[in-house]
Amino acid sequence: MSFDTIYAIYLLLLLIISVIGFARFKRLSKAFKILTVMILCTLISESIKKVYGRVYHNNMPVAHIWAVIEFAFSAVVYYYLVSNAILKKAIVISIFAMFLLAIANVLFFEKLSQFPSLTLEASHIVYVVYSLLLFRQMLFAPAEQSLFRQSLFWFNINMLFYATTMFLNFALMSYFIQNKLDVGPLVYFSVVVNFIFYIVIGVVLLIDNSKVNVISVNND
Amino acid sequence: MINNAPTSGELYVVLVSATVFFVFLSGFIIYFIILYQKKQLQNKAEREVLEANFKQEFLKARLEIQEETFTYVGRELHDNINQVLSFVKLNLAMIKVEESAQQTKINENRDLVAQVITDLRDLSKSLSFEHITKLGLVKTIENEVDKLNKSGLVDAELIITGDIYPMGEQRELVLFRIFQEAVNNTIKHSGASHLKISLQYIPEMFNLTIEDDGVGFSANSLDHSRGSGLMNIENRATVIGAVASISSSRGDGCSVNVNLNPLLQIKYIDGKYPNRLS
Repeated sequence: MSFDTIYAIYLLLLLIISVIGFARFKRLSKAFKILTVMILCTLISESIKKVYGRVYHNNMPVAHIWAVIEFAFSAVVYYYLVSNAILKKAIVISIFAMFLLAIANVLFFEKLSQFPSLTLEASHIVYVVYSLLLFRQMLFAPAEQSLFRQSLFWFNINMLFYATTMFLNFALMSYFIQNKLDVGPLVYFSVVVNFIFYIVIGVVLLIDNSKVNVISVNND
Repeated sequence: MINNAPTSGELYVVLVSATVFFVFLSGFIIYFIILYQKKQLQNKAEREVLEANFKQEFLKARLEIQEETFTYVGRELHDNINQVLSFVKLNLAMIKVEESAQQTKINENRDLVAQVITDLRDLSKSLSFEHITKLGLVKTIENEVDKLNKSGLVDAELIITGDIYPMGEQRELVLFRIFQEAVNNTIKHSGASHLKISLQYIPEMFNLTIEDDGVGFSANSLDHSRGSGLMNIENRATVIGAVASISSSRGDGCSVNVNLNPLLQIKYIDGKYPNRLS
């Protein structure tokens, strides 16, 4: 299967998830409403990336901008999922910190024409921290509903899986490039991880219901 | 330049790092799931205990309010209405008329007032907490059975087996109220001609059974008043740590059975016991 076909399927998947999210928008909790908007923005950004790449033969400037926006969206989703006031403040601060890091990265480390690995790796580390903190919160106040029916659980586990796996992928990618090995398998691996990530998000948007969700006081 | 053939050492590094990573991730997820479910069970158990405590406290408070009301009404009947009626009776006794027909009427009214005074005194006693605790459960029920038989509403029979032992004022009071509720239900709804009350004193178990030969009922055909009366019986029993069971079917009478382990000490959330007064 050609990479273009895979990309088209990927965009189609994003479109389907956006449709699911907007179809159930009223029933979603605030955090997952933002997640729905984020998926739509991902679809737009990925489409722009493709067109930009075709025109300018390098879509990395779009990747730089999107890395910061995606982090901000994910952080806001976590902002509405956590209930601790200090954590909420920390999340807001992390958004500004990531923005500054992205600017510093473009100025001093990875130019606009290069892959923004530093910003992405930092984002993934922060996602893992958010995810672990949310797991901790879940343990302190377990809901009556079965864990496997909780959208929060699937979202959080998905974030943990995605962030850690992509971190490993980047590390291996760096190792492969340094040793001049074929990175093709890793690219396909990242595609698979992305597909799993977005499919699970689709499931999250399908099962989330603000009325039965008792995860957070700010979640309605 | 890209080398398409990684060495076995490089492949080893990739495989080991990926395996270790996925083992850790899976381990974490499994650990979290187990821990979460354990917490869920723990929370559920705690919530159930809290709910049970709340229910018990609520029922206890309701019974206490009910008892206070009964005591107040009983006292009013005894101290106020009975006094007025006694005065009326005395006045009637003092009236002397020439005409014998009128005198007979006055005497009949005096007798009726005397009957009302006696009935009110009995009612006052059956409502009075002090009276019940002073006489004890058996004697109070015996009195009630006598009254039922005298009233002619139903033919009541009392059977007592085993050596009678005291169960504590509050428990006996609650058991008596259960008895009253059951008898009340029988008279109001069952159309029974015979009522059998049995008190069974076994060292480890006290059993109170009230059986009638009335029309009976099926559980889903209960109206509100009868349903709440039966629920009252169950709730009262719960408060003293007893178990009440009500069995009936259409045309087959009704049986109310209350079992209580007199040795079992259930403790209220406030540290008090149901065999003591509040």
